[in-house]
Formats: sequence, structure tokens, C-alpha cells
Amino acid sequence: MRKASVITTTIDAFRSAINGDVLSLRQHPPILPQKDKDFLRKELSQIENDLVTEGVNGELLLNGMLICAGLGDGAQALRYLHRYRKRCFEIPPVKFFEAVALFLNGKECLAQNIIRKISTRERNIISTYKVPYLTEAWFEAWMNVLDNWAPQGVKQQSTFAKRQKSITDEPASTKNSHSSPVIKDSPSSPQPVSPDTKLASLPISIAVKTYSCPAPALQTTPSTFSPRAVQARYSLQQLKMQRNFEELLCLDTLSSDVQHFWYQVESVKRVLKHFQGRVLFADEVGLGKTIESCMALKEYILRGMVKSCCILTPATLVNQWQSELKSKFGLSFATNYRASPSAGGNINWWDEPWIIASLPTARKSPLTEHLQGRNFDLVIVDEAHHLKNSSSKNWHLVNGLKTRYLFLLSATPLQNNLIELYNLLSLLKPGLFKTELEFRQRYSIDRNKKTSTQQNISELQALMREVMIRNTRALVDVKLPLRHARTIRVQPNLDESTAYTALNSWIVAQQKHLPSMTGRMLLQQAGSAPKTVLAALKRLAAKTLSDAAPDVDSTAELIKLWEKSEVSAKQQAFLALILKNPAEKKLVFVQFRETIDSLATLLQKENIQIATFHGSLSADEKATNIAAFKNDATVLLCTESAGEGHNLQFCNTLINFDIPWNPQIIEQRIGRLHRIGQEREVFIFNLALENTIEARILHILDEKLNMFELVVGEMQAILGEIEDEGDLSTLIYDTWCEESTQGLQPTLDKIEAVLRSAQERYADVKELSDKTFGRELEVV
Amino acid sequence: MSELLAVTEEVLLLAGAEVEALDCERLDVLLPRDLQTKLSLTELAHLGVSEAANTTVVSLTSDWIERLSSVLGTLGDYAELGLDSWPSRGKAIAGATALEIVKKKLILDNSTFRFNTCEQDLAHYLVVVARGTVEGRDIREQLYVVMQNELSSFINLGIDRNLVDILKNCTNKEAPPLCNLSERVEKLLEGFVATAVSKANKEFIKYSEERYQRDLLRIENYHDSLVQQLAVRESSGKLTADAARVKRQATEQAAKFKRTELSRTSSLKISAVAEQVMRISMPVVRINLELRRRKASRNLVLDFNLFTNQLDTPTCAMCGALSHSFSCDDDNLNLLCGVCLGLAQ
Repeated sequence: MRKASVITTTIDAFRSAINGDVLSLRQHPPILPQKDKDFLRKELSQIENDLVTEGVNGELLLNGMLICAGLGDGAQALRYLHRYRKRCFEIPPVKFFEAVALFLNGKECLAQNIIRKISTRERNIISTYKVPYLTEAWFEAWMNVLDNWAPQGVKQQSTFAKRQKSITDEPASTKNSHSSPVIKDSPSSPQPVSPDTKLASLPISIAVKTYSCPAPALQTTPSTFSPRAVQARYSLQQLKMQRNFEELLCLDTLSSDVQHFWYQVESVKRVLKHFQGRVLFADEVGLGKTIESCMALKEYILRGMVKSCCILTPATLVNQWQSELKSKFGLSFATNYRASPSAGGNINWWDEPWIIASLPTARKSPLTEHLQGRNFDLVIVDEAHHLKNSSSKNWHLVNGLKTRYLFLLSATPLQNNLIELYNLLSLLKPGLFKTELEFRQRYSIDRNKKTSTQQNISELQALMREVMIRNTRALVDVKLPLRHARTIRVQPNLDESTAYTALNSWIVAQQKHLPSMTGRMLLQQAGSAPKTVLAALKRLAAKTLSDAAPDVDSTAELIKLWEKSEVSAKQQAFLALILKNPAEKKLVFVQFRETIDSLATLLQKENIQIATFHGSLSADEKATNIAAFKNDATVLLCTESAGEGHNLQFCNTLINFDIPWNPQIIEQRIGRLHRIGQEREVFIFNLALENTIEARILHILDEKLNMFELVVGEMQAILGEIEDEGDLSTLIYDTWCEESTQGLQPTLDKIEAVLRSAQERYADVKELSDKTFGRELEVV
Repeated sequence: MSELLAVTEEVLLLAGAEVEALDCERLDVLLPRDLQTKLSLTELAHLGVSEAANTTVVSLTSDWIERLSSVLGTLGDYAELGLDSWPSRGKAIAGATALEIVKKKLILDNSTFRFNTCEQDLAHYLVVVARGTVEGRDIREQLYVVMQNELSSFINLGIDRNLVDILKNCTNKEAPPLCNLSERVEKLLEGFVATAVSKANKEFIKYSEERYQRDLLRIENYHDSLVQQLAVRESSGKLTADAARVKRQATEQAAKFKRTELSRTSSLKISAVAEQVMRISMPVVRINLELRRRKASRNLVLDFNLFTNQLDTPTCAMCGALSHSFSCDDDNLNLLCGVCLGLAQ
């Protein structure tokens, strides 16, 4: 071989060629600097001489060809090629040089055809081919040009760039990946791609894990590696391989509290095999979409296919997701409220592999850019109907996320018209439903009508089956025992009534100084128990002394008033209720620790065995207390955290000692007992002091909205309809503050109107969903 | 006894536990302290394949296999073994029979061979058990076993179905030092296992490719239609030229993003990982041939493995590819496949 020379290449020329500017490459072949060209010309003339003097041989012809290719003289390169082929075996680089020569001669299509026929193995040989005159960069650049070249102005056959490398090729034995971008021309009047047009091939990479030879000491003492051990290991490996998606691995790893049902298992299998991880879970309310998606997440994690996940939820559900993932699936996620303990504070929560973010937070800059800048294996969007509008920030956020798998969760993906569904499903499978205009035309969506007239519905359902799963109650045939709810309205004693009224007036008076959260809590505590509000007021008084706001004197007066009413009428009513049937186990929900303490004292005086459960207990204490409730105690006094991760279906009586302002919490409380596994009828008792906000809210929820007759989960769906107006308890407080001068009734009327309207909207949406989806998208 | 329970019994015995099989579905085990931790079990545990009181259920769908793997640790991931018994078939393969076998297995394009001698001997084989995976949006995983003659570097293809039998008949036997063991294993993984993984999963790869093409086509059609609709709106005056240009650019950008994402998320990764490596000495019938091209000649040794009943399949001296048809290069009469011969010349 002749003396090697380092020749630089002008990559820009290739870049412009890739971008369609083939002419510039052909007209100005600045492939090599002038000095290199001069050198090559000398070499070429030397080769010509050698061919005459030494006789024709393959090596000289091959060198001649590649020098001509380097000089951009395609015609001469081809002449050398023909001579070479007459005498020698063809080697992969020859094909490559032929393609380059043809390209330079203006036969780009022919050149690309040759390149496409080169197998991956040959490609690898070419890439390692040592040439004395041309650099590796020259080879790579030309390979790029030939791979990605797309003819300009040709519409039908070659609208898109075609890339070499057929999937059926013999695989390469190297570690290279050949994924390169598909370059597309921008024709003035593009034609849709015909199905037979060849598109870019699927990128395939091959990775071989480095093998570390055992330490020499081990090699020399082979007795430690008996054939039995080798055989056992081999058998174990074989058994491992028998596991496929036919059997889910996650089922045995779930907490005992997670009850899973056949339709959920089938749904997860379908997600893994059929949908390949991009799906809209649209099960009817209460059928466990969250469990299904978490099972699929866990399955992917166990199989090593998901190593990072981002969950986007409405703000109110972030903590619920976090705690359920932890307690039921053993998965620790960082949230926008709380980083995961394992992070150790050295890393931003959004950079952790497992994160939960509220949609409103995630759609704000710069978090959006952070999230869109990294690659996730899986993204889950809960209440995905918030992405119904393709011009919304939510939609753009999710559309811009880079993720292999995407789960959208919504019981009501169809809210007003099919376009909303179109927007959701397009996130999962872009292009499946074609353009919005085509979709409108095909499925007769009238922009001016609120609800669409749906045609070709069966065709649409067939398309939806590719990306969506919706199990209905009719399929699942879940039959829960009856549920009875009774509200006990307690007339407050005089002291209580006076103190409550004074507190109301005080909060209105102190509105400017008092944070709204504090005001809200005080009202809720007053509705719970006198000792609870008293403790809160005392804490506030101590704080006010230092802060000088709100008014210290009036706070002291308020404390005196509440001190007078230490024994609450509601507590007496509660005691009477417990004593009616003292042997029956009862789950008592309260919102505040102080209330738990006062109720515990009250019940212990009557020799009633109790157990308590609240957030301040350690995990061991919680487990002990739950066991105590199961065995000896008849009453479990607990806060909202009770029941998460525990089966409490042995109990069938629930007492809401105080009423949370957010009905979703009431629904969650009911869900602890009224769930699959409960065999007896469930009794719910709601206690409320007359004339308090809680009593009025209860009136709306029970008598106006029939909340206690709704399926568990429906209240959350209804509240989802007023998501834009914020958390309901905040809404109640804000409205109450605004209208406080006119008394409580206008506030409650307004809240009732909001809730009723949400309920009506939900009913409409449900009807539309039932009509559109029917039972066509069920798992079987 | 179920296969899983049998393996469980064997692994626990190897790790030092006391195991008693109560029946074909249940085991009673007495575990040392370290095993109790690794298996999350008490000292005396009852294992079974079906639910019963005080019984830990072992199943393929649980993490039991992972727990057993942790018990096994590195035990059995490397071994030097030997097959001492000498199958009687060895004597039957001699002379004319050996020649017939070689003729079927070795086709030379530009050279000839002459049969010299045939004798029984021991050959050292490098056996690699590898986990081959194709991972895209779905995953396919399988075990592959490859056996390479350490002397000739030729591959014996009969190992896959015979490995368990061979291991049953093996004893510990120190193998001669092999300095480039890691390189050899990696070369086998790269050249042989990765190819085998691709071939075994051809249908899956094809299906993934079709799926990818379908999704890509949808994206292309979608964006083409959008551009077309823009052109129509522009020509009808509903859109100014500037607005149309901006929208077209945005559409192109979105299309590019979607294509890139689709390509990234659908891409397949083929991987090969060595799980076990063994060096086994095995009885063979050694067939000595003389390879001839023009005036040059050299000896070529081919082994007929008496346990797998297969002749080692020659591989290309340059790229290591398996083939039955070879050419010889002029210099050293190396066996080369068609592709490599051209390069060598």
C-alpha cells in the first residue's frame, strides 16, 4: 500500500447535500483541500504509470478508484471499478465506492439502491476499512449523504428520504447503532405517502455486555464450582426465561391490601402486549384505573423495562398518588411538595427518576423545559381529560414529553365532543385519526353544535380499540352490599352556639390579618370539637402576642367563650350512638388530633375499648393499633390516613364525627369500608352541629346531590368538573368570606349551584361516553 | 416434583440448607442464618407450589427465582469440567465414515482437502450460556448456549440440547490456562450469540418493524395532510403567505419531533450477556485433514464431538461467521467466507 496521508474533509458540503443541496456538492466538490488534491493527483498519475509498468493488479485499481472518488471524479472512478471487477473478488468497500462514484455522476437513485443493499455486516466492514488516502470522517460523511439523500421535486415515489438497512438483514456483530434522522424535503404540494412507499427502517442497536473473567484464584480452584452448581444455575436461568407477559410478575409483589380483579389483570396484560405501553385507561368510575396503571408500572419495573417515570395529576391528588404508590406498590416517588427520602437533598426533585408533579406546577416554566428536556420511560397522566384542549398548556406539556410509554387515565375522556377525544388519543398514537379536519369530516363533527352528531361510530370504535381500554360495571359485575347513610343533626348547647357565632364574627372581623388557611381551619375545628378549636385559639393567641395581629384582646375573649363550652352536645350524641350497639365495631373518622384525644377520654370513661390511628404514630404503633381494633377494641378513632394499606372490611359501621368540607374526603372514608370484600351492609352515620357550615354542606351533599347514594369515585369525578375553580374547601371559605355580611345562606346557595352544575355536567359527560364507547372497548 | 421445586431443592442443598421433600408439591427446609435473610424466611420453613397454611408458595410469577439467584450468588457461573467416560460410538466413527461426515460439512470453493488420519482424543471446549434479549416496547428473552473448540475456534452446534446431559456426566477437571478467556467470550457473544438472538427473534423484529413503519406512515400522512390543508387555505386567501409559512415551519418541526421520538421509543436493542462460562474437556474423534490450494498445503484439524454427535462447524478465520462453504486465502490457506476473502486479497 502506498504512503498514508491525512486528508481532511469539508463536512459542510455533505451537510448541505443531506439537506437537499446536492448540486453544491456536485458542482463544487470541495471534498478535499487543494493541497490534498494535488497530492492525490500525483498519486493517481503514479498509479497510472505503475499499471503500465508493473501490470494490472487489484490493489492499484482499487487505489485508483478511491483516489478518483476522493477527487470527485465519478466517471474515472467508475472506469477503475469496471477494470477491478474483471480481475478481483468484490469486497464491500468496492460497492461503497461505486455508490459514491455513481452519485458524483448524477445517478443518485442508483447510488442509493446500492447502499441500501449493503448489509449491516458489510457496512461495519466498510466503516473499519483502512484507506491510506481518505479519512474515516470522509467515509462517514459519504455514508450519511447516501443514506439520507432524498430527491427534490419528486413527489410520488420519493417524498421522503429512504434509509438503508433492512430489518431482515443479517445482524451486525458490532456495537454500532445506525439510527439516523429521516430527512424530508418540503415539497410545495405534498402528496400523502402511499402505503407502499418505503420509509425509514427501525433503528436497531446491538449491545454486548463486557465479560469479566473470574479471578485467577478461582480458576485454579475449580472444585468450588461443582457441575451440580453449574447445572442448578443453568436450570434456574431456564426457568427465568419461561416468564413472559402471559403471567404477571407484579401480582405477588403487591401489598396484601391491593385487591386486584380479573379484568384488571387482563387489562394490564393487554396494555403490555397489545397496546405496548401507550394507552388510555378509561374504565368507568370506581373500577380501579389507578390500580391498573400502577400494576402495569410495577410490571414494567420488575421486567427492567421502566427505569424512570413521571406522573402528572391534578394538584389535589399528588399526595394521594404518592402515598398509594408507597403503601400498595412499594414505590417511592418524589413530588413537587416532597422530595424522595433517598435523594438526600443533593438533587432537584424533578431530576429524580420517579416523580409526581401536579399538572398546574408542571406546565409552568422552567419546570416544563426541565421535564421536556429529559427522557422518561413512562409518563402517566391522571384525570387526562384536562388535556382535552390541544391549544392548552397541559396538552402541549404532555405532547412535548419524551417517553416510550404513556398512560392516560380518565373515566370521562369525552366531555363535550369527539375532538376532545381526538386530542387525547393523538398524544398516544400521532396520526392514527389523521388530521382534525379529516376527523371532523369523517365523523361528522359540527363545530357549531355543542354535542356532536356521531357517525361511522363503529369505525371510530375500531380505531379507538388500538389505543383505549374501557371496562364497564356491566362487564365487571361488581355487586357491593347495600349502603345506608344517616345524618344526626345535633342541637348545640347555648354556650357552644354563642361561641360559634362569636368565632364567625371574629374571623370576619380579622379577615385582613388572618391567613385564609387559619380561618378555614378554625371554622372546621369549631365544627369538630370545642377542645380542638380552643387549643387552636390558644396557639394563635401565643403567636399573636409576638406578631401583634390579629387583635389580642378579642382572641382572649373568644378563648373564654369556648372554655365555657367544653362539653359538646355532639360528643354526647356520639356517645349515645356508640352505646346503642356497643359490641359492634365502629370506625370513627375525625379530622383533628385534639378531637381524637377528647373522644378517647370520653369513651374510656365508659369503659369502651378503643384504638387510635393517626399520622403521629410510628408504623409499628399503627400496625399494633389496627390489630387491636381487629381483635379487642370496638372503636377505632382515626384520622384520614387510616385504612391506607389495611383491610378494614371486618367492620361495617362508619361514623363521620366531623364533616370535611371536601366531599372527596368523605368519599374516601366511605371507600375504606364499602369496597369489594365487604360482605355486610354498610352503615354510615354523619354527625353535625346544627347551624354550622358542616351541617349546611352535609345538607347539600346528602339531600341535594344524593352523595351517599353515588358510586364511590363519582364524587371525585363530579369535583373534577369544578377543578378550574380550585379546591372545594377553599371555594367554600372564600365565598363565605365574601358573603359573610349577608349570612351563611347565600354562600351555601352559591356552593350548591356550583356543585349541582358540576353534577349535571358529569351526568351529560357520562351519557355521552356511554353512547360513544358502549361496551366495545372492554378488555374481553 | 415440579421443575421449580426441584431446582429450589437443589439450590438450597448446595447453599447448605437441610431439605426434606414431603411429597411432590412440598418441601420442608431448615435454613442457616444467611439463607434466612436472603430468602426472607424463618429457620424452619415450608415451601409448596400451592396455597396452604404456613406454606410459602414458590412460583414463577413471584420473586422466588430472584431470591434463589441471590442464594446462589456466583456459584456455578464459572467451572472447569471434564467428561471422563468414553462413548463407544467413538470407535465406529473412523476412516470412511469420518470422511463422509467432513465432506457433508465442509465445502471448499477454491481448494481441496485430503483425509489423513482419524483418532480419539480429548478436546477442550469453551461453553458460554448467554442471555439474549431483544428489547423494544415489548421484550423477548432467551438463553443461548454456544460451544467453541478452544483449539480450532470452531463451533459445535449440538450443545444446546445436550448441555444438561453433559453436565450430569461431568466432574471437576482443571483446564489448561487460557489467557484470553474474556476476549474469547466477548467475541462469541458479539459474533455468534447476537446473530443467534436476531435470527431467533426474526418474527418479533419483523413485527416491530412493521409496527414502526405503520406508525411512521401515519405521522407522515398526518403532517402531509396538514401541509396540504395549509396550501389550500393559503391559495383560497384564508391565510396570508407569511402565516402559512410560519405554520408550515411549525408543522415541520412537530413532524420532526414526532419522527425522532417514534424512532427513539420504538428502537430495538439486541443484547447478549454471558450468564455462565464453562471449560469442558470432552472426548472427540480428531480428524486430520490436509488442505491444498495450488502448490500450498497445510494441516486442518476437525473434531467430531462424541457427546453431541456433531462435527465442529468451521468458522471464517477473519470474521468468525459460521459457514459450510469456504475459500482459502493464498498466503496461509486460512478458511475464509466469501466477504472476507475479497478483503484479504
